[in-house]
Amino acid sequence: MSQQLPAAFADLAHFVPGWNYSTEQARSAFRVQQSQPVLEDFYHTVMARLDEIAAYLDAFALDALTREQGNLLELALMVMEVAPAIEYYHLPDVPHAVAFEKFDVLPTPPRYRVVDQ
Amino acid sequence: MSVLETFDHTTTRRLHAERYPELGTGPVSVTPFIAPEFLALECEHIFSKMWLMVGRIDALPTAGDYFVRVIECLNKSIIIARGQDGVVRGFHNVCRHRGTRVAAGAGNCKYFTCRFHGWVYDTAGRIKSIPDESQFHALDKQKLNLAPIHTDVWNGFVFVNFAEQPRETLREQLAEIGEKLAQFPTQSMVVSGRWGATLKANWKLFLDAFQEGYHVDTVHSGTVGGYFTGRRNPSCRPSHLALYQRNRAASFSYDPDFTPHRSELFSIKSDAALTQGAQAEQKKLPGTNPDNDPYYSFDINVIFPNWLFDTSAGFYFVHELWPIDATTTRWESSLYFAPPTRASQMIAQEQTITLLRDAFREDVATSESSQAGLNAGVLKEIHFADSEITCRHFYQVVTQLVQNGGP
Repeated sequence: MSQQLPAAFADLAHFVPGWNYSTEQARSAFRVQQSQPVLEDFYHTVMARLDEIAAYLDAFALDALTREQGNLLELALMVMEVAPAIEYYHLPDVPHAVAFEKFDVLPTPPRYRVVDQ
Repeated sequence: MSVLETFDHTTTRRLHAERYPELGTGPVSVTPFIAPEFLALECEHIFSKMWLMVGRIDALPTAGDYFVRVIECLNKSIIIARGQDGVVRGFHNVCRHRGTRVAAGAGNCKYFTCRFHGWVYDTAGRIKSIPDESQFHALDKQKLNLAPIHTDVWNGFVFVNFAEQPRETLREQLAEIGEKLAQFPTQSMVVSGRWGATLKANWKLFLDAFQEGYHVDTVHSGTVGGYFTGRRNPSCRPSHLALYQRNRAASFSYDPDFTPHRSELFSIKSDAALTQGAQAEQKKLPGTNPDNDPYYSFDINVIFPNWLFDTSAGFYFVHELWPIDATTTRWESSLYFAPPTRASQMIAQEQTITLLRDAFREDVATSESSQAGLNAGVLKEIHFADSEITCRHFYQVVTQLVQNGGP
């Protein structure tokens, strides 16, 4: 079985699969369905490694990531998706806002590419 | 030096009314926000006669690229296409045979083919083929090209004008805003976040939510309210404000006492961010922060009739407000960043994408509530504060254009 994350980040392996999504649409829909303690655990665990994750991934071209690198990048994108829920409003979804179901998160062009080996 | 120039955001003086006395200070009628008859006049005299922004040229990089745009209040479906000759054109999406749509969505093609009887047009709109043509009676093929629409491009934004002969050029309509933002580097940024909602609110009421800062302390109490308010400017008054003939601009500042969160600290060091503090002024781009506010955050540029081109250092975002009926609007917004070349830059941008999306969800939430209140018929008039003079100006521009029969 191939590993889910680069070896240096094996301690985050329990978040893959589960927390790695390739689109903002999928990340946002996932976030609003989680409980706050679950989001907090993910945020604190991954945020503590964010500088290392970024430094590691910056060595690779964004248009030819391996699946493991892509998974790691998607965890970092997810921590930014989760961040306002932890840092600002302390709830999984923003309060006093239009309902998530009435709001369209529309597709955007991909900014990175995973090349399966 | 005026009070505005010293950035005193707590003065009791009503500075904008002093500067623009012709706009008046009284309440305004609710009729333009609720009446179907008023929307019909807006469609006739504004949307049918003025340049409308319909997309980015970035969506059409190569010959044959096209996108379809539906303008519901005018019953129009249009195609914007880059022809094989490289020219970007606009056409009505209406087959000359019996009116059927010839394209949908977006893509790349050499020809548009009507799905009804197979009439074929090229990407310059010219009729190329009519199946079983001998069975028609004296067709004049010179008159069978897709009906063209006046189309023009400014700083990468594509505009159309449905008038037979537009009364103004696009540049004349953009006027001061066009000059101010001609050099803003949209070409170096790509769409990074895109959102929409169709809500029960009048298009002007909806747009007003994006052109004043007075709502920020309450509406954005869950997100960015603290960043834009604080002791120095508790009600998020604009630091710069300019009302032009039909367009207007304002700039907003950040609270110097704001302490960035962990995600924001990462973003600020890795790329641009909504809550980037001093970086916005240090890395400012052409056309932004006209008054050199030391605590500058971002500018709104409200471009008549129905869109905003909001700029900051390292990103910009656009709001479009399209009426569907008098009390229903389609809102779409897009956020643009430099295409990331490193993972850290992409991760940084994701922080703003998420936070801005959450803030926009707060913005649009009030529109349906306000509209329901106006629909109840209790109020004949509503009030605009001096800090909401942008809304007052918009109201006056719209009502005057409707009275005057257009530009």
